[in-house]
Amino acid sequence: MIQINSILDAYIDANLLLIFAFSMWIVVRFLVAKLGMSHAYTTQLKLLNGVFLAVALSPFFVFGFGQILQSGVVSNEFSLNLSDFVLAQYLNGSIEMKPTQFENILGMRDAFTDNLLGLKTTTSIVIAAFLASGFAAVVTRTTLSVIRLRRIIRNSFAWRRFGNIHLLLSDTTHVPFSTRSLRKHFIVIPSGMLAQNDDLRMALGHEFQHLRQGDIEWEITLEMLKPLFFWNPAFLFWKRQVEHLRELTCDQQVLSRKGYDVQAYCECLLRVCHNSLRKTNRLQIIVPSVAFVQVDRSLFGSQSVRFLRHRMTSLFDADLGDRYNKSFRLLLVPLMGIIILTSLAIQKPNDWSQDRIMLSTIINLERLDVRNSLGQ
Amino acid sequence: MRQKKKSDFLTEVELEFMSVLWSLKQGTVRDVMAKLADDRNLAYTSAATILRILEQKDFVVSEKDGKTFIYRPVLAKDAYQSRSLKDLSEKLFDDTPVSLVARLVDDYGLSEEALGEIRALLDRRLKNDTD
Repeated sequence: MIQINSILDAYIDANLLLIFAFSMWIVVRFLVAKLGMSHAYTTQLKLLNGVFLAVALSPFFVFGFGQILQSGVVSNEFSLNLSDFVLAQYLNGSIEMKPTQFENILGMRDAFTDNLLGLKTTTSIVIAAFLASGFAAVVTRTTLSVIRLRRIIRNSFAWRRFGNIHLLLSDTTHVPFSTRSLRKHFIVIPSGMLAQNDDLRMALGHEFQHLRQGDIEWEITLEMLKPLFFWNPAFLFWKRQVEHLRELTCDQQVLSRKGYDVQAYCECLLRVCHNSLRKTNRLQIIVPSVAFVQVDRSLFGSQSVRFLRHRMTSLFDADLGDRYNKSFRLLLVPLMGIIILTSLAIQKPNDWSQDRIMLSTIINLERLDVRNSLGQ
Repeated sequence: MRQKKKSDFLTEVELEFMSVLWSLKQGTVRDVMAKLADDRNLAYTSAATILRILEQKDFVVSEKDGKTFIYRPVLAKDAYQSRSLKDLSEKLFDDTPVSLVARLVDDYGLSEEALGEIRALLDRRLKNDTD
């Protein structure tokens, strides 16, 4: 039970941290736009990945900080805990509230985890069922998609090979995409594209750029996390933001490296979309993979269309010479620091501090007072 | 080049290549490229790859002649036409060829002459069946 409790606590922390980190990212994006760098997609993608890395590394910092506190190197008074801070403010009189009410607020998280683990209320049963069924549904969907992806790769024709990068030709897909197994990288090109030399070169350039950027690894990581965070809007917005930024970065880099004509490149994107929509009525998004262009005929397809329009207008508007601005590391370091500090602050306090004993005493005195007044 | 699963049907580009090979009877990569439409901006390596895929799919066989490969169709054009029509009839016309023919006669704008030829064809077939 203790172990499940710890896992649930870590899960709640991760969700809270994701929401906080995404809020921070929105602020950073606003600042970047204010600095006139709204088209600096490479920089934005690096910042976003850096923020995600900080979230991923935060459990290690939490563990390390806990070990330092336990070893006594740092005094327990040096707490970064948010609830300890709020409690200290309450005892100092900065917050006006009844002690029992304040204790209820402080204990909300404990009450929630107890209810959820013990399935004590109808709400907790509904939440547990929702999380379990959502997890199962996303895992099933991803597994089926991986099976489909494996089938496409198995039925493709080997075309060329550069080290561990395998270029494949497929009759069954109409959109070029890249993916990977444990050891091999695959770039899958629709076999019909062989007859369109310019489109072939642009699509290959685009997919090679995805490999250079490590986009497939990020995509696999995010897809693996999706069953756990499928309900968290911060995670879903985050994932979409990563998907959009990596395509915008890739387009920008391919055009600046290879010097393709912007109009020809946009026409190529449209042709791939058109061919795909003409030849299949199925969803062309297969995970985990990174496609040249997302073609989606589902209810949410309008988002793909909007993004394609945004991709094309960005190519015409943006400065194609954009390179990662190293001075933005100055922004990344404090950003990562804030996220790691927040991860320490949102932890559940481990033991009874003096302030907590004080609050408990106040509550007991208040209850005694009420009982005495009732007795008189 | 490896192939995992053989497909019974040709993609659009492959069909274009097969049509050329059917008309040439046999040919090298350059022979096929020379017969493609002028606006078809195709690299030699891409054309060679398409022919190798056709070979993997068992639509053509190749024979080495010096440094070049000569490709020859294995499947006749008639056989592929039958296969495609059968597939179309199964998938789109609920496996009822009559519906397919009815749609063709209704919508294709057939001339009197063409309809006469079809009638003669059917008469011949009916006569053969009764013999």
